[in-house]
Amino acid sequence: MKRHGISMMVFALVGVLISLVPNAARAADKKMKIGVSMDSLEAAFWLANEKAMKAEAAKLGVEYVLVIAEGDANKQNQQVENLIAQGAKAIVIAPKDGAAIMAAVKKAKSAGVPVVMNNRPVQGDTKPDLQILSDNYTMAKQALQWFVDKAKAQKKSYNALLLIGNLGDENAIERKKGHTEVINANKDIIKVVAEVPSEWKHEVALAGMQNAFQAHPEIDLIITPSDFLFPPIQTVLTQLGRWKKIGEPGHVAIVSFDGDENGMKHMRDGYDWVDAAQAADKTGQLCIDWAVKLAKGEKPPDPVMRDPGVIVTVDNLKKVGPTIWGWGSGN
Amino acid sequence: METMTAKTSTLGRLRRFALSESILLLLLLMFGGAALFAPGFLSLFNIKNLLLQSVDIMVVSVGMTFVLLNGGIDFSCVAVLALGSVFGAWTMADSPLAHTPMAIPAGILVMVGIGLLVGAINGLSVVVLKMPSFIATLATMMVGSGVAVWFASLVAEKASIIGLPESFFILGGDQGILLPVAIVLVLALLAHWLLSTTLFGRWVYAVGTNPRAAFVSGMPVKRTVFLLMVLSGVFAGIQSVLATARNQAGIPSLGDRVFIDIVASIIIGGTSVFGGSGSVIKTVYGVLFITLLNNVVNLLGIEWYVISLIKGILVLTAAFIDVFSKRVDLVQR
Repeated sequence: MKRHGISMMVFALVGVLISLVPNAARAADKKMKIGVSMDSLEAAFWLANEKAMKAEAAKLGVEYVLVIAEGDANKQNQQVENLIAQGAKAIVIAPKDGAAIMAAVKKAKSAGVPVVMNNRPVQGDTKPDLQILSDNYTMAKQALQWFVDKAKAQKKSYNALLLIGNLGDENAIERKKGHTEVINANKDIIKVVAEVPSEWKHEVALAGMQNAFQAHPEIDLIITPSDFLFPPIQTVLTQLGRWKKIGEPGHVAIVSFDGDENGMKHMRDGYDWVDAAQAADKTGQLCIDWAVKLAKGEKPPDPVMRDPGVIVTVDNLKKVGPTIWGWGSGN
Repeated sequence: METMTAKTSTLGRLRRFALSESILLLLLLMFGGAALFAPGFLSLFNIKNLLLQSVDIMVVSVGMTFVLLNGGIDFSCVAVLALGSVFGAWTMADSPLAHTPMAIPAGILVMVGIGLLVGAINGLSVVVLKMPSFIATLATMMVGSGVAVWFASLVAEKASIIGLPESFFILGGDQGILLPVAIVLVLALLAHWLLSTTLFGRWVYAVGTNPRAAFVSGMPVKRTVFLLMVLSGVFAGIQSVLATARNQAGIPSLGDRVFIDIVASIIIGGTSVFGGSGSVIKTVYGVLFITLLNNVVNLLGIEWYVISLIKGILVLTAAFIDVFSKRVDLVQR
């Protein structure tokens, strides 16, 4: 009964699977196929980045094949293998883990498939054909330095909570490095009383921040490596009655990174002091452009392209804000 | 009359075969469907992919089958993957033994040893402290995963550990898939032999079906349960060796998301969540089925969330049918 039941169920699912096969996949493939492997699609940055890639692929008339690793480095390597197997002419990868992806990059290169790294670099000796990255270290440093200079001018000092991303992600490491360097050089202005690892997960960040505020109610500055973490920041500060605008009593200052919709909104609303904005959409667009060019045999002028980013502050918000991808309609 | 009886008996045998080997037939059906519809599926590159990708969870799934046959669960296997990966990689890349001829054997020993240690802790917690395997292995999973991340951040500038000896990558299929596939095959056959022909195998099924009856019959219930947990740990340790070699790095998050695939493979293969019935061969088919499913979904360009949906439905339905058939069995008795 059991085995029979399972077999019936799986037969049905196989039927559903086959019916889900897109027409494009059934028909003989005529268009150039570009594979895109993403770590996950949770953060606004990656959603905007992926949307831009898809739009660029449509504009260039290439077939766009997306796979998502759901935060699993090993699965991402498998998916890249599958993209090679189905005949992708170039692959764009936003890796979960810069070290673990090396094996997949090697495999693609030995199969003659060019690889473009999207926003996150590869570690180790095997280099992809092109890496389009943000200058995370410099941007994090510049944003926090701006805040320190502002605090110095206002003769203020802060007790900070330093949020950390996933340490398997090179970007998180570089941002932490940039933040830490400014903090160490300005210990009279910023004293870190709590470090909270987030693993790029809202629930982990929320629990960590709640504990940190419990232990250190004197915290009056949060340094976050991504605007993605704004929802738990807002939750914890609201719970404490400290979700206050700049200048209001009990205000907790925020220094952030990304320039996504959350970040821009909180800057417009007066909660966030400074946001180091990356070019999510432009990076995505460039990744597809270059994937197609590489597939056609073109070589990039430089194997690493760096987005210098834009530091959006409360002072330049009106002028610079509308140029940022996360600004949206400005509502 | 004799011809009719012969025909009936042949049909009966075919029917019994179809039912008992339904997962194998499904696998073949899926393979046939993929060959027809999935672009690039039958290429040599993809067939090699499939075999290597099935290696990724095969050993740990076979190990976990022992625990499920006892009606238990081993959450800690994913932590063993991560722990083994970072400690083994560190041994090979950064420890005093790195760059010596002993680096690779020592690294492998560390990875398997970690599996053995975690399995023994789980076994003692279940047998001596009378903890349910659910709780005991959940605890070791949490501790193990935490230690893996902590250790990696301590010894590696960028969390994951690279710089492993090139010759170690042979175990991950870097120079051809034969070695990892052969290792997995030998381990699966060994596990199958253990369960199907030895006294220990009979104890496993007996204890899994009814531990009290097994105890009354004079079987060493505690020793059997302890050994099951140890075996699961050791198999996870060996999987850690293969996965680290395949990814060419010590990864603290290795195994974070594979638990569902491991359990899905075993349950879809036909091992009961209540214990007492199932087999290693069925788990092998289950792993091949899940690997094939992942591969085909990618090749067909089906939306990524569909795969989670399908796996979730498969596991839920398999578990439901298992529960239902157990109730029917009870009523019929």
